[in-house]
Amino acid sequence: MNRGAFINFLFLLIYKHRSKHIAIFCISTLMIMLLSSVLFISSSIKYDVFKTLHAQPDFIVQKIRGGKSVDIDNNLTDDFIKISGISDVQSRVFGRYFIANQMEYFTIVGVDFFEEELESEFKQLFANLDIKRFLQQDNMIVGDGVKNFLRENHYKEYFNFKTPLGETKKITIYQTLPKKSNLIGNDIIIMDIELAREILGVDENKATDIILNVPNDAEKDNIKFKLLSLHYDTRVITKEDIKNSYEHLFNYKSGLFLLLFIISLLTFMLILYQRYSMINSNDKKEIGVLRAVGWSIKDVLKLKILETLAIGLWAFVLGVVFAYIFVFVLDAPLLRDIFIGFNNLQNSVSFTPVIDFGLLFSLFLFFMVPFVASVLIPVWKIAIIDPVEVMK
Amino acid sequence: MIEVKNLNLTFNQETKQEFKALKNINLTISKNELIILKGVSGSGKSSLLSLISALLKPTSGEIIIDNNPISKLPEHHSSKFRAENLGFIFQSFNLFDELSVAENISLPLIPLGYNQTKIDKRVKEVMKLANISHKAYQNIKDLSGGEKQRCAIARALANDPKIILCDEPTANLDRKNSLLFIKILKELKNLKKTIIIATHDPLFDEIPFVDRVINIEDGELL
Repeated sequence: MNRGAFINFLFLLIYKHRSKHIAIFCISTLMIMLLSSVLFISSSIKYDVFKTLHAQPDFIVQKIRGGKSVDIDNNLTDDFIKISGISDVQSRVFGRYFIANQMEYFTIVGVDFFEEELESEFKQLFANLDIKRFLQQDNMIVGDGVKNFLRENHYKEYFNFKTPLGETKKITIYQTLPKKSNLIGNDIIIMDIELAREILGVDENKATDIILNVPNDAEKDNIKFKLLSLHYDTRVITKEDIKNSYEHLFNYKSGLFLLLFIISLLTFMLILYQRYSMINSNDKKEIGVLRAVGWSIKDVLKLKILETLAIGLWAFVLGVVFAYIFVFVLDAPLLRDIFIGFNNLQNSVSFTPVIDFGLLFSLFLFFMVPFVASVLIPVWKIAIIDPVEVMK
Repeated sequence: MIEVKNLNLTFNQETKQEFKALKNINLTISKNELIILKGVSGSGKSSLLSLISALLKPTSGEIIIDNNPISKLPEHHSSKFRAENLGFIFQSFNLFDELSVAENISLPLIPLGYNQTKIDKRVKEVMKLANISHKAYQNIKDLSGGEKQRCAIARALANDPKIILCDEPTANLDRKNSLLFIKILKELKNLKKTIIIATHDPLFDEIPFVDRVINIEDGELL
């Protein structure tokens, strides 16, 4: 069989059968778009979150009293640095600022801009910041969600914070965090550490927690044991603990989407079953005619498989392209909120284009195999019957 | 030459609905012969045509065409044999309604391995022969019965077959188109084709260029 003539006839048949294929094509494209969107969003979030995690310190030490985390003494940093194997010890000041009448909260992060051991994440963020100018007056850098919230409440240039002592502290918005950091930075306010102490009510000799690194992985368990035995009233959180809690969160959300996946697949199977049972008398006549004019069973099957494959492939590619545009260009309206959540400030996150090709290939197989089988099986059943019987 | 030896065809064998469609048929058809296979509906003429074209397998006996035991060929080879040697004209035309005349005629040429240029050239030739060139790009569903028949004839001629089998070719045609078909038949006879026509149309009794009329009744040759 001449390949060119066969391909010409294949495309001619697809074009002539377009009204027959349009419904299954549209449903398949929509389903692939939905499922690919979920894959893209989850891959993108995981990528961003775990990238952030990579920049986290190895250990976070918090002071515990009555089962609750309380401010920790700053001078403990001196004790920690003496333990061999520990480096980059640094105290942090951060906390939540609650706006009762709006039932919203911001996360205030105090930064010592002159600290040499500044976290790498911050170093990147402040690479282009004129620190001298920033510290000349009470300034803050806000996340996208904070900026929008303040603007809605008529604070376009500044916000008046209330300190625990009842004083008002006017702080000017110096700049906004880049939109790409929204996943983490949406509700964050970054300010000078002393200013943060004032607003959050953290004493000068106290900190929210202490972070430190342990360069030798083999030493991590020993160091954790030493820290806990020296300071029985502390809690040591490792990078691994944070990673596990992130994974639990994503597994929970992925579980919800697994349900969506199963429902979509079941719907798709039902559509395929309908398609399977709708191989009608016209299809039977076509197969019979082709066999009568000299086409072999192999040729007929090849034609029908390729016809179905072409439609399935177009639907898949189009679905993936639409999903890419939906997630990475339009920022996945509606679907985004299910993943990101909007229990606090509404987040207008921008997704980093990350594609998990392994998962995409699995989706391709899950889609294509039943799609082709739904046509192949009935066509094969018809093709092996005598053509005369088929055309009757 | 077509040789039919001790041919039997039984449907639903060894069941309550067992039906013997053909009983011990023996027949020899020479090259370039035009044969009328005559009988009422259900007499077994269409079944005999289907067996000769290897569209059906006999229950017993064999059919040999030019030394090829076509009734015993595996599916792939019988398809190849049909593609290279046979042209079939059906009672209900059996055309693809959504394809054009030219596209329908090209169907038997694809399994022969022709390239598109060769296919287009051959389609033009046979359309001219069947006098349907003026409807080349029209869809089948928009044609009259006579035009559909001419398209079916052109498709049957496309692969330049040695044998043309016609199953009730005038059953769906009016008298004018039936006479036109007979005219085309004469041209095919002049092209040295072996033609077998299964029919019960009395119009074929008057044709002078018929070589032989074979009567069939209840699956047996008379």
